[in-house]
Amino acid sequence: MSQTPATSSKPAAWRTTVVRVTGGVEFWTIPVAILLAFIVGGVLMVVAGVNPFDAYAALVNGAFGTTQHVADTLIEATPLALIGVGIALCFRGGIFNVGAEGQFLLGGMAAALVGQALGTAPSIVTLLGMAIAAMIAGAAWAGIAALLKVYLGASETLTTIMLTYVATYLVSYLLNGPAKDPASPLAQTAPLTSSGLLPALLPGTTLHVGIILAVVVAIAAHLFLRRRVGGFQLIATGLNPVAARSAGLPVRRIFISVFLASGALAGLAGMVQVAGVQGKMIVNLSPGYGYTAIVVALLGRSSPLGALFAALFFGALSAGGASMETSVGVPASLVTIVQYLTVLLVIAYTAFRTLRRPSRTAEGEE
Amino acid sequence: MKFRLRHALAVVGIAAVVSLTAACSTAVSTDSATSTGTATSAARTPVKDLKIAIVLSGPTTDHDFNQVGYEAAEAAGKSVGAKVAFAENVSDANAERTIRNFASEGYQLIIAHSFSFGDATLKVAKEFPDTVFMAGTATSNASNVGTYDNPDYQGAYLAGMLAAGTSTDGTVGWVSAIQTPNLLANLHAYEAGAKDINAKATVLHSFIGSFYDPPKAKEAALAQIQKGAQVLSAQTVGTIDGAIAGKAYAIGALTDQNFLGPQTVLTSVTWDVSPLFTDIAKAVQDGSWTNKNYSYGIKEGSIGLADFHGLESKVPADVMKTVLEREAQIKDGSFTVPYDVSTVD
Repeated sequence: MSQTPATSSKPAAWRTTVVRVTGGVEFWTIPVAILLAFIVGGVLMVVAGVNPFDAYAALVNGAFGTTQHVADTLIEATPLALIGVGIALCFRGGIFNVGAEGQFLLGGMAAALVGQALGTAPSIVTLLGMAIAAMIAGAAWAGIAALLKVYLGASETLTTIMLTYVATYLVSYLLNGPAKDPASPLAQTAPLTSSGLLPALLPGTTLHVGIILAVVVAIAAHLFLRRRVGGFQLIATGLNPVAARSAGLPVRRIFISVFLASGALAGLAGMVQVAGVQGKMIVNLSPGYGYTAIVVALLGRSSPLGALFAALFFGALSAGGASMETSVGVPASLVTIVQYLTVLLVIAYTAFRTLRRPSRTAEGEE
Repeated sequence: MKFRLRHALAVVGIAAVVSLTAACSTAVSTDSATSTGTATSAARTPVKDLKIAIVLSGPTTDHDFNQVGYEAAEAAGKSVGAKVAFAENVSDANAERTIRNFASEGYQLIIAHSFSFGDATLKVAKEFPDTVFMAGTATSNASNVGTYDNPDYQGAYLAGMLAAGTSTDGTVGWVSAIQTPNLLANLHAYEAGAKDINAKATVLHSFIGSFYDPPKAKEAALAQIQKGAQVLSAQTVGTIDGAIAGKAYAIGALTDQNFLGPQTVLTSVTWDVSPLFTDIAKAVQDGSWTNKNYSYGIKEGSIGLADFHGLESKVPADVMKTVLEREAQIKDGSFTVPYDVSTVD
């Protein structure tokens, strides 16, 4: 049997911590972490001279106050959920795909190009073509990192980050060059025709059908992990790749497959933003979805349904945060602090527990 | 044992296809093509208790485009007695949502202070016909969308004269963001001004491809200095840092940027958009607002040269005299700065 050079026999401490966050953390820690993060956020608001109760009221109103605000929350949650589910699957397999940002951008780019090429086709054909192209583009980009890891032992944490830079510049080149809309000085493609736009879900709002896609994908991934042999194999590989290989599992194929799946989902998220929100590919398509989704996957304890709920939570914070800024004047960046603090607290708690109680996993560390 | 992950991939793929198909067949597809009507809008109902909102693509403290807009909105609000709100660091991806938020919260005058917010503004404006939108430096308007520009090309002409006159061999540089009509006009006027003072002047230019990327602007500035540029026009944040590092002079833009390089920044072409915003706010209040393009330049006192902070000595006296004469001619209307927005390489 061939060797898999990528997987060293002893997992690094941080890997152990992340894998434990995925399964080992009690559910109550997450609401507590959220509460603590909100309290810290409130203190920061007091320092900034804003009444935190007014600000949080504006936040809740901005996330759920009107139909359009609920739509904003769901729209913002959609790309986070799609990417987050893919990253959660990777985490479960012990893979750290942190390059979803690049896979997302290439997915959006591919979707826009196909959408233009099929601009006169019926909507269903155009949208399917866009979705397939976006998934292929995302999967191909993730596949580079997968092959580098499996056959050359390159750390996927490094390669996926580096590939994101390449993707960002590639997209920027295309949007400033061959794919640029000649009618606009901005780095963007020409607007899609109506057959390349996702249908509205809720008339009178900007909500598009992408959220249905995200829910279906999360449920499918959940059932896969719970009900399929492949899901069990993925989890077993993540917990201990050496043992998994000894037991005869095709570890390489599992790694490559889960990488491709997460890349495809990130690409699909790019298509959803292009076809559902912007109506064209723009150079700043992502306000950091690919990175925020890593945090979403962690907060969702690397379970697909958990990632879906974490994405809805982050979507609400993001939509509410924008409204908090427009109505009370609290900088929206404060919401980002609350978002990341929540996850930091969950990780800190887990790391603290891991260190305090030397367990069989801790013994294996250098 | 056979590995079944591919089955899961198939499930995810089929799920995606099914839900898309279902959605397509049930929901009505919306057409989001934006209309760009140019007909002049009819008189509007006067607005009591005016609330103004401004949406900014960068921070309110950038000593540049965003700060000028933010401070002008505050000044306009103070002068007409209106409440002013702002959102800063709004990315293009989120612009539409932020503009819609302000509109749905009842702001009657919404200023989208970035060229890249033009499409988002037109989209939201269709949903809120009673709200007045002002799209900064944009080119298309609608019945409730007006535009305003920054005619700093008039000041750029003077800057070009100063730069080419100060450079010992007439080689000067110009660093900016993206080829928008506004910035192209600035570049062409700067070139014309440089040629006005020295017919053999060479003007280098760079578009860094982003509205806010200081490291990239610095890099572009250094590259121009290496090619011989002795004075740079800083049309985007970061250029002055490059001029300091490369020991060249710079001419600031939009605000008095001398403090960024006291020995480097000769002067700045300042832009004060507050008279414009104040007039718009008044027009919205009394119902006389129309959807035209508002443009306030040197004549209206919105564009001018900042203090030289002791660096007058670096500019040859005859050059300075010619520049000030030109400025006076622009003011009294006897000289018109050429306006050219053709694209460049």
